[in-house]
Amino acid sequence: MKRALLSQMAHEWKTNIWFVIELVIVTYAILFLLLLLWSTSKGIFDPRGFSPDNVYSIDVRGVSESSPYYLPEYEENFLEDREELIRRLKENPNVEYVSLHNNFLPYQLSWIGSGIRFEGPDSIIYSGNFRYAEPDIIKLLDIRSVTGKSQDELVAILERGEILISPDADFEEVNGPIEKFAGKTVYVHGQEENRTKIGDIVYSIKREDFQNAPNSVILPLQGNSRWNNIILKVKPGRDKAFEEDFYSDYDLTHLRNVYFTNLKSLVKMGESLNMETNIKIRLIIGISTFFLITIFLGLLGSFWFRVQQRVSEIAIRKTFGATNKELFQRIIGEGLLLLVGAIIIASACIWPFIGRISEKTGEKWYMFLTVEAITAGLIAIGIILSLWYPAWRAMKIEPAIAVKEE
Amino acid sequence: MEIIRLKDVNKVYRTKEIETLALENVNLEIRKGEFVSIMGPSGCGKTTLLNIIGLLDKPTSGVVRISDKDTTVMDDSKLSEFRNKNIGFVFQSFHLIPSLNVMENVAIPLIYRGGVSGSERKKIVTDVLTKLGLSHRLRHYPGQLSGGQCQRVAIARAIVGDPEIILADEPTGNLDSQMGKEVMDILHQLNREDGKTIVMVTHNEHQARETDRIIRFFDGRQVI
Amino acid sequence: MNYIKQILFELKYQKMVTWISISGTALAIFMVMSVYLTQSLYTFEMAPASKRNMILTGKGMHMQSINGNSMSASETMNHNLALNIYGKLDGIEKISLVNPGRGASDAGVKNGPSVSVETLGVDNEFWKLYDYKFISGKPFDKGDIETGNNFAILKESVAKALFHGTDVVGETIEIDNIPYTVRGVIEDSFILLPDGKVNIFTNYKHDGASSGEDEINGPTKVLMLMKPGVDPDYIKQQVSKKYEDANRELLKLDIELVYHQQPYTSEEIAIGGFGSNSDPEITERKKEFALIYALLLLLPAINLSNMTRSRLIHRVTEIGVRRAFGAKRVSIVSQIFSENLLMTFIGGCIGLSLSFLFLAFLSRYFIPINVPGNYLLEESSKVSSVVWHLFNFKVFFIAIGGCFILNVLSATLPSWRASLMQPATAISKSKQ
Repeated sequence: MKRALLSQMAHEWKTNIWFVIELVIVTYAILFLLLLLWSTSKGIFDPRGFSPDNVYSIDVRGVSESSPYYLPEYEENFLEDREELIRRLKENPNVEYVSLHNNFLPYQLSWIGSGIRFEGPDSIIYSGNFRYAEPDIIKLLDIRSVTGKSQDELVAILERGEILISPDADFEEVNGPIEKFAGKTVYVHGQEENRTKIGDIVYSIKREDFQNAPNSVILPLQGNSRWNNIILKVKPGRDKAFEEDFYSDYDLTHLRNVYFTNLKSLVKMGESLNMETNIKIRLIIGISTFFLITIFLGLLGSFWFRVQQRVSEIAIRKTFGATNKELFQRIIGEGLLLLVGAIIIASACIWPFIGRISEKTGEKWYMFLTVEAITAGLIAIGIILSLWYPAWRAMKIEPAIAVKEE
Repeated sequence: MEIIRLKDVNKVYRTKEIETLALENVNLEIRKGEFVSIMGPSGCGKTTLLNIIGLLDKPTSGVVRISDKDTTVMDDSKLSEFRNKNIGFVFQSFHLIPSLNVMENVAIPLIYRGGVSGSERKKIVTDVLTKLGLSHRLRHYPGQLSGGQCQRVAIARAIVGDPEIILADEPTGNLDSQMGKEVMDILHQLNREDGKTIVMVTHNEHQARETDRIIRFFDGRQVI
Repeated sequence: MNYIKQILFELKYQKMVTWISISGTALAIFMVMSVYLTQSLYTFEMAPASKRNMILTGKGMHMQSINGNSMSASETMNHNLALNIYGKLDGIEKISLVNPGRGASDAGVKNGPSVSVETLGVDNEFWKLYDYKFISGKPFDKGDIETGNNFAILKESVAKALFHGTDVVGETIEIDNIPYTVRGVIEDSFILLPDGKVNIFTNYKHDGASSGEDEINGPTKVLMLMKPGVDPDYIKQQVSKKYEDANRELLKLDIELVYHQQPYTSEEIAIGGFGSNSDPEITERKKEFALIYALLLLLPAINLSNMTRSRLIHRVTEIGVRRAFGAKRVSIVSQIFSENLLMTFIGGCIGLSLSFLFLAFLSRYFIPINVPGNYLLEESSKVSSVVWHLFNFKVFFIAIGGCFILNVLSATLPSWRASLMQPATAISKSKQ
């Protein structure tokens, strides 16, 4: 049976060669697309490090000196007036937490990168994105401890003026597990005068959902700068009500020279930031689907036609005792044999380019093998689906037809 | 005068493994207006001979002259033109084109002739079909006709371009005897009244005897 | 006529093969046209940007130090430099200077509702480059630009959000707490048209100091309408010369400007992805797309070629008979070709229609079109409302071209091989 299959395929090599070419191109394309998909979105499996639900960002601004509403006599009151507006926000029945921050806002591509130096002769440096905020930020953004500390404990750590850092594989490779650094004394920015302690280790805060999170260094907000902005969390289900208050209640957002503006939902900011990657993923899936459908149509048509052409042959086989199961397996087997040929050729064709592909996607060679297996699986499903109908047709052929056709 | 003239015609079919001699040194002359039947057992080369006379196939060697023209020197395009003007075919299994209706099937030779306008074509086709008693079937499709009707359509197609020669390959082979007789009557009529030269391959001794001359074939050789 | 009958006949007797041929063509044309149409969303012309492809944009410049240190920067121009470089070019009909400003602002009515908006400072000439439709009021005039007062022209959606109406000429709005007098209200425009994301136009006064200009840098962007028939490359050549002139002046500051193909055409802006310090890679991009189109056509063509061959095997006898009655090879090839072409056109029309449906309703999932959170732009970002402006002869021509390529790829070889068969062999096939 197997031998007959091979020799018949060899006999029909002219048709098959086109399919192998087609399969090679498609295998190549899907392989590449899947690698791209993986490298684009692998970060999605990491924890996000925070929860954006019901969270808003608000900008704090001062009325410009060229505005007719500018009140020069209150210039010095800016921070007090901001404090008063924040108090009003906290009293709003829809609001749960309010926290002033500096560069803490997730889903934002601007950040401060700096380092901390551990006390001791080794001068170990840990660097990451510096995020400053008032202690409530822990509960506001639902930041979690890696070591199992409660959020109240984390708040207390920030209130004591200590800082939080996050796991970092590269750092740990050199210096050992990050947990052992909890409680160590450090110098923020490496400066002797900025001496504090690592309070605990928390999950890092991602900048984009699809990317691995960069290291986070969470610090209590220091001093009182005019440039700090606000992160705010509303109570569940109160987002619409709060938005309405924010835009209609003038006194909630304006006091003398200070005003709050640019209310942005963190969920929407996330959508906006993730949009590009989302689109890329959709494109990859869309184009792969096109390739798979093409293969599906091509094989369906060709095998259906071959069954049609071989009606009498199949009928004769049946007359001599071939079972439906055998016929069915024979047709599916032929398709899968084509696939194996194509995969081997496609892999051989791709081999010289693996270096370039992995350079583009940053993947190791074993990732390539995994993806190749998935590709083969996808195409095999396509092939089996496309051969189902022709094979079923072949099974339905009555042995009597053989005589009639002759 | 001879309208068909075959001189030392050989036909060899070659595949990778074997050579088959289909025709061996055939010399044949058929006069204008003659009705000739070719007889012989299956596989003796009758159809090959008819195909070579009809310029559907080329001899391996030898000369085929039709209407005093050497056809072996013609290129494919010239051969097409020549067939179109001089030869009409009738096949055993009719070979009507199933997607075209009766009129369109019959019109095929005129379409490839060129220079015949649509209305002219329609008139000629209708005349021929009327002559063959098919005027009420103009818009029917081959699938809707009986075997005898199909063969009459095929004959109409063969004569619509007014060729001098009609080649018929077992024209009654797929028909019952009554319909077969009708078709033979038409062929005889075309021979007698219109002076067409007809070459017919047949298995039917009775039909063959009614023609002017019988050529018998055996294993690629003419025996009588 | 007979070609259509032949196809209908095959539809009936070779359903599967015909169905696959048509859907394969439809899929290929759908993909090609979706890619093409999505691209043209960034360059197509409709009001208010009816002359979009005749407008060149001069913005940004690459500046570097010539005294040996490695300073190199992408910068924007000040008003005077912009005029020096772009002010007196041959082949330019109108020129407008605009100020893209600082992005998101807060616009509101005193003690009333406020919205987050995008603003653009423009001069009086701006309104002659584009054909914005005024619902009320009028464009800025020369006086509006030269006066010290602030004026604004609102898009319809802003006017409705702030005033619940559009008859608001003379009213005052505040942008970041600075009052502006409303001069007019214009219709919203599709988001991917030039300035489609702008909600409010303000009067751009070039009074140097207040907009933070120094000797070279400033906020100015230049828009130029070319005279009919002028080649953008002709303008670019002149600008390149102007860069040389400007560099002689800049010698005293130890810096020079590096020319990078400014001003940009709408096509160059559409491909994006380049900064002021690199050249737009339009040929590269075109090559990439040519490759994509080729792949999208080649794979279905392999399938279709097999389908054509399958169909012809069924019709070998017919071809033999036609040959017997005098059909030449050419006429056989042309018959099969025409039938096939008709079939690909049927598939092509389906594919083209699908690509328009895709564009209207699904394209927003595949291109960054909407601005999340800016609900003022929601209506403007609906592709379905502009999709008919994309339907023109060129699109139809490209779709037909795609069909034709598919046809050549899929029918030439099988039909030629069918015609090469000896008539006798072809006829005898049916007896087997």
